[in-house]
Amino acid sequence: MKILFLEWASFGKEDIVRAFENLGHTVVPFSHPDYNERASKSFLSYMETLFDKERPDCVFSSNYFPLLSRACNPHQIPYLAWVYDCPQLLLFSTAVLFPCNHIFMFDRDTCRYFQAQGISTVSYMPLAAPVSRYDRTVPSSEIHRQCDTDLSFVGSLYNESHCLFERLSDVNAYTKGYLDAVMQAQLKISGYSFIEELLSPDILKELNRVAPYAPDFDGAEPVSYVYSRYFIDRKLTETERLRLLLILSESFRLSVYTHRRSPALPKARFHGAVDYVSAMPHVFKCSKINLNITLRSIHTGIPLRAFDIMGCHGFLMTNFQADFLDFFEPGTDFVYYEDEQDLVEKCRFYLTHDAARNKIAQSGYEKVKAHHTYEVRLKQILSSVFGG
Amino acid sequence: MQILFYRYGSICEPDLAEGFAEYGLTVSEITAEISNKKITPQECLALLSQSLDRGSYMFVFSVNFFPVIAEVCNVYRIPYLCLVVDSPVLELYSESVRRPFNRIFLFDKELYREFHPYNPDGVFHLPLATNVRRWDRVLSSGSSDRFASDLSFVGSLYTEKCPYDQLTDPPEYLTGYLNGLIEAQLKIYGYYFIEELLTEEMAEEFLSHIPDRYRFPENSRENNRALAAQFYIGPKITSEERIRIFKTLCKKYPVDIYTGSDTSAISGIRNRGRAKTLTEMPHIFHRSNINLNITARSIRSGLPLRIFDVTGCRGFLLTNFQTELADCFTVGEHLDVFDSVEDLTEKTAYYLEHPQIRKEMAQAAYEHTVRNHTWQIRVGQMITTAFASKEDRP
Repeated sequence: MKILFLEWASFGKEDIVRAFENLGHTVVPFSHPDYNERASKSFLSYMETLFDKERPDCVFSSNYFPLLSRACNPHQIPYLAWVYDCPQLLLFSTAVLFPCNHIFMFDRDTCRYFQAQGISTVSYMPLAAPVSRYDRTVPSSEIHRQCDTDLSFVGSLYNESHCLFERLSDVNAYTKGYLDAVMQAQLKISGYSFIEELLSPDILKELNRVAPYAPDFDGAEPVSYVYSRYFIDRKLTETERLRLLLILSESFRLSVYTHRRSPALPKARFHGAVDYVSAMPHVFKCSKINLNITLRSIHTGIPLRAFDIMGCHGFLMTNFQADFLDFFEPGTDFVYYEDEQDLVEKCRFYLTHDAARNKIAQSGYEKVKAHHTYEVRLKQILSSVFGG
Repeated sequence: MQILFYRYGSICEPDLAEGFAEYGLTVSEITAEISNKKITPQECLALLSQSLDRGSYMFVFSVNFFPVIAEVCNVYRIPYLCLVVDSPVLELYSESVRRPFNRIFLFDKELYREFHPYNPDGVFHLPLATNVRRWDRVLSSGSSDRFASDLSFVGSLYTEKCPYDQLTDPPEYLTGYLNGLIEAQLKIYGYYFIEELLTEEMAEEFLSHIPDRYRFPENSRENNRALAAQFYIGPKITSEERIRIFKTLCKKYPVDIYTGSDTSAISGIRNRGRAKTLTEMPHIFHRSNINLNITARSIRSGLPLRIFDVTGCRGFLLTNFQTELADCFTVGEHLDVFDSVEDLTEKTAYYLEHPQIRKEMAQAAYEHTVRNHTWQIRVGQMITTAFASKEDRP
C-alpha cells in the first residue's frame, strides 16, 4: 500500500514511518507550509499534483487537518488522521464530516463528544510506543550519572508568559468567584471533568465580554468548549502540576524536564526540555518513578507520555484516567494516585520497594510491547479502514 | 435490667424502645421534651437526676446527642449511649463529647471520622435500621389503591426550611464562589467537598451575612467551616438538587411527592401532602413501582432512614450513590443507584418497563433487611460494642 504521510513537527513521526515500512507499506512523506490552515488554494493544488504523481492508497497524518479532507474528498482517497492532542480546535471544522475521513481519537471522552453529535467519521484509538527503538536505547554510564533520580517529570508547567487564563482577569467579581470555586472543586476530582457543563450562559457572556472568542467561518466549536479546554483546563493543569511537584520535591529527589523553570519549585532539579527522540527515553530509563500528570483537557485518554514511559520499561505513576482500565491493570502494570497525600505515600512506598516497583514496570512494559506498539496500532487502523 | 430512655420526639424513638424491650431490657422513659420543646438544660438535668436518684439503670439512652445528659451521666458514673440519626448535629461540637461515660453511635462514617478523634474510646459508627415487624403489621392490615404510584418520593424540598436563604447582601465574589461550589457539588456524589473548599475567612464572611446565625455555645469547639458547609450550604444543595431532579422527571413521568413543601415551581408533580409516617408511609413504599431516595447532602457518606424503610416495606428503591451503600446492600441485587439526573431518567424508564425485575429486587432487599438491618439487630450491636472491653471492640 502506498501512503502519503504529512510531515510536520509531530511526536513519533519517525516511529510511524518506520512502523508502516515494517508492515510492508510504502511511505511518501510530503509537507506544505499551509497544512495547518483552514483554506489554501496553494495547498489544494499541491495535493492535486501529488495525487497525480503518486496515486496513493491513502493519506495519513498525526492529528487532524481539514485541508487534507478537502484535498482527499473529491478523489475519494481515504484520509486517516490519528489524533494525539487534546483539545484540537481543527476537529470542529465542517470538513470533519467528509466521508473520506477516518479520524482516530486517543481520548474516549472526546470521541464520544463527537459521536454524540452524530459524527460518524471518528472512532477511538489509543496511542502507542516504539518499543523496539526504546529497547535499543541504552543509557551510557555518563547519562546515568546525569539523569539518575528518584522521580522525574517530563512536560510543560504551563507557566508560559502568554497564559490564556490571564486574559480573563478582568471578569466581574461574581464570575471570578464562580470560576475560582468550580476550578478548586475540579482540582479535587479526577476522572470526571465538569468545567464545560458548569459554564452557564451568564458566565459565558462575561467571559466573552473580557476575552471575546468567535469561531472562524469553518469552525463549529462551542465557546464553552474553547473557554473550558483552552483557558481553564490549562490553568488547572498549571496549578495541579506545580502543587504536586512542590509536595514531591519537599520529600524526594525530583527532576523536572521542562521549557521554563519555575521559581515556585526551589528544591526540584530543572533540566530544560528534552528531545522527544534522543533524550526522553534516557530520562524514563534513569528514573525510579516516572510521573504523568495529565493535561486536564484530556478527560479520559492515555497520554503519549504514559505509553512512552511504559514502553521504556519505566515505572509509571499517574493520575487516574479512565481509558487506562481498557488495557491495563492498576497496581499491576502501572500505579495511579488519588490525591496529594496518596501520591506522596505511594511514591514513598515504591521508592523503598524495588522489587515491587520493578515488577510493575516489567508488566507494563510487556503489555505495551505485546499490544501497543506502532506496528500493532497502525495495523488496527489500516484494517479498520480497508478490512483484512 | 432497666434502662433510662430520654425522649424528645424523634421518629426513631418508638422503634428503638421496642428494640430494647425485645432485647430483654425494661425501658423507663423521660418524655417531658416531647410535648415541651422549650425545655431548658436545667430542667432536663433536674428530671434526669430525679430518675437516676430513684432507680438503678444499666445506662441512659437518647436519640441524637445531648451535652447535658453526657454531663449528668458523667457525674453519676453511668454509661450514656446515644444514636445520632441526623447530620449535622451541632451538639457534637460540644466539649461534652469527650466525657468518658459516653458511648456515641454515629450513623455516618464521615461524622465518625470527624468526631472519633475527640473521644476515641467512646465514639462508634453504626448504620440506621428499620422496624420490619411494624411495617409487616401495617401492610397486612390491608392495602389501599390510594397509594399506588409509578414513581414516588417522601420528603422535603427544603424550600421553606432552608437556613441558607437567610443569607443577606453577600458580596459579589462570595456569591459567585458559593454558586460555583454548589453547581460543582451537584455534579458529584460520594464526596462532599464544600467544607474543604471554604477557607476560614470565607466561612466567617459567609456567616457574617446571616443575621441570627447559629452560635456555638460555650464549651464548644467552634467550627465555622463545618457550620457553613453542613448546616447552611448542605440544605441549599439538597433543595436545588431535588427541585432539578423533579423538574426533569416530571417532564417524562408522573411523580407523586409526599411533602409539606411548596411544589408550585415543579409543573406536573402531584403533591399529595405530608404522609403519616406510621400508617401511610409503609403503603406508599409498598405500592410505588419506584421509590426514590435523594439523600440530604449534609449526610456525607451514610444511609438515611428512608432507604431502610423502603426496603423494609418490600419497596423497590432507586437511590443516589452514597459511599456506605455497599456496606449495607448489594447494588443491582437489592436496589439500584443513579449518579446523575440523566442516569436517573434512564433507569426510571428501564425499571418502569421491567416490573418483574423490580419485584425480585424488592423481595431480595426485604429479606436482606430482615436478616441484617432491623432495630433489634442494631440494639444488640450497640450494647455489645458499648460494653465490650476495649480489646474486643471492632
